[in-house]
Amino acid sequence: MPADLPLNGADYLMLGFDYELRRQGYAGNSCQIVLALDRVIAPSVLRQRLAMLAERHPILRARPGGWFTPRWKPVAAPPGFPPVRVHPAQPGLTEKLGDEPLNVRGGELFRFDLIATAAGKMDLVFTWTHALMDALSAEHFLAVVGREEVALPALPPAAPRPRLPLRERFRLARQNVQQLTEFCQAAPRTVGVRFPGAPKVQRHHVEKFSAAETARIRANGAQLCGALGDAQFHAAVAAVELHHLHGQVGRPSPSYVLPIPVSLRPKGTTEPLFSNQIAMLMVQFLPEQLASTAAAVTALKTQLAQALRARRIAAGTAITELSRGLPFPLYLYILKHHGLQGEICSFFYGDTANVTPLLTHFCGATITDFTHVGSTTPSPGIGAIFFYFGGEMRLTVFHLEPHFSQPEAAAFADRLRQRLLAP
Amino acid sequence: MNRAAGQALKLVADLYAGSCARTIMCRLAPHPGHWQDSPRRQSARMTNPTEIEAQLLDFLRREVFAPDVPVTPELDLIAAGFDSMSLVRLLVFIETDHGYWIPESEITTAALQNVRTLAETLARLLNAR
Repeated sequence: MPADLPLNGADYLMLGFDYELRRQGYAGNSCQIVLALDRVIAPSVLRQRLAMLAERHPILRARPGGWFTPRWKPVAAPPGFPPVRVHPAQPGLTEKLGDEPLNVRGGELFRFDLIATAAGKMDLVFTWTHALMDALSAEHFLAVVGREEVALPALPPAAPRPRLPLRERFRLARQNVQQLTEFCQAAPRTVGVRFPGAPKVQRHHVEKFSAAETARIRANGAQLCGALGDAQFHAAVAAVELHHLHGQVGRPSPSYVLPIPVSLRPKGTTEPLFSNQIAMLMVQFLPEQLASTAAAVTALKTQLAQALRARRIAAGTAITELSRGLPFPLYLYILKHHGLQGEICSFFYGDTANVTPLLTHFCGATITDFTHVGSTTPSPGIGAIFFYFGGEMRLTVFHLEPHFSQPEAAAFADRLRQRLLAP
Repeated sequence: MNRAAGQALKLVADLYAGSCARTIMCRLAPHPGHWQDSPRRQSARMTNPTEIEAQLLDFLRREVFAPDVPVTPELDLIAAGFDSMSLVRLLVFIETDHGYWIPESEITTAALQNVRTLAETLARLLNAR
């Protein structure tokens, strides 16, 4: 039996969110990538490739375990492995599949669903638990699974990150908690209230932008945020519209906290593949800073620079690493003690930039469209992922019902679109 | 006169008590690139592009790119994955080393063409402060 594999701090935090979501009746902290393929692929080919990969990478059929620090424990033969299912086309099936929980504790960390659509085409829905890997890793994993060559390459193993001394990690973790305490001067209030009897589902809505619209949005971003400022522009637009949304549904918040994900991977590598290599920089917007996109950009830029001066990336990593030794409810209790009442973030924001250029074909079929669908936590109940596919921008807005209704989320997506085009 | 002396005395007392940071900031009007935004202010000195280029190469190899990425002066930064967060990290590094915050708006796409053009831009901005 292969050896256990440790989870890093970010993996563990994602696993904690998974448990928390399940405890509240949701499917779990799972993400999806949907590939539109120009022709049907055989499920047996996919099963064969996955079985080969799992031989080399036991983490693909592992379950979370471990007494003190969490670890992936390889399972000899998880039921239904390799998990590839075939479905006839049905309206709304992709969303239904997202609401179907993965049996993470039984070793089901991901799943492939093949949906034969009209005219000999096919949608491939890849659902995975966020604790296994982040969205960028998932893109590269799909590129490896779908390669033309039958002989799959060896995926690089996880390289341990250099660790800070324990004392320094505690100091940085305290700094992180102190930042959250400072947020309490205008503590964010989300719509995260319980709806015990209501159905608990996640829905998503994809906004597509043409090449001309994408160019216009990029130009708007460059004008407001400077070169390479796309992601900051998207985050600022999201914050402004989130404020409007809260006002519209009658739940204005004293402030809005956005977690800005920062990739910890050095540029030019996808290693390590099976892990979450992200740290969150928490940014707080006061309502007066959301009066316009330009004001939100200024607030965001100021806080990002301050965060990097104060080594908050290292602080965020330190607290997640330390949280591996804490039961997740205790972590939430600490936050509650500081006045946040478990409401850490007002929004789930992701920006995965360009889809990897390696992902143009999958098992011989051409990929004609690509969609990222994130997972949101009950407290914010809404989120968005920005990305580019084939030079065109995509925006997926996902929300939990009944926190937000379908029309509210659709109107939010439309306002995001309008503001991106005319900030 | 007495009032000014009183204010000076209060400032010294605040300094001694260690509760002076905010007081001092109020008295010295802040402006962009002021020392209060800079962890380590050094005296303004002329900076040549070659010196900056060497610093950039060292920083990029150490902090931004993977070890197997050949970071050379001709490296196309954007194609190699240099992103907005890398840029902010780079500007914080420059600020720490040179005591001056270069606004991101000053860094154009043309400046990010490669390490050499970026070094030339940074040197020009640092010398023009």
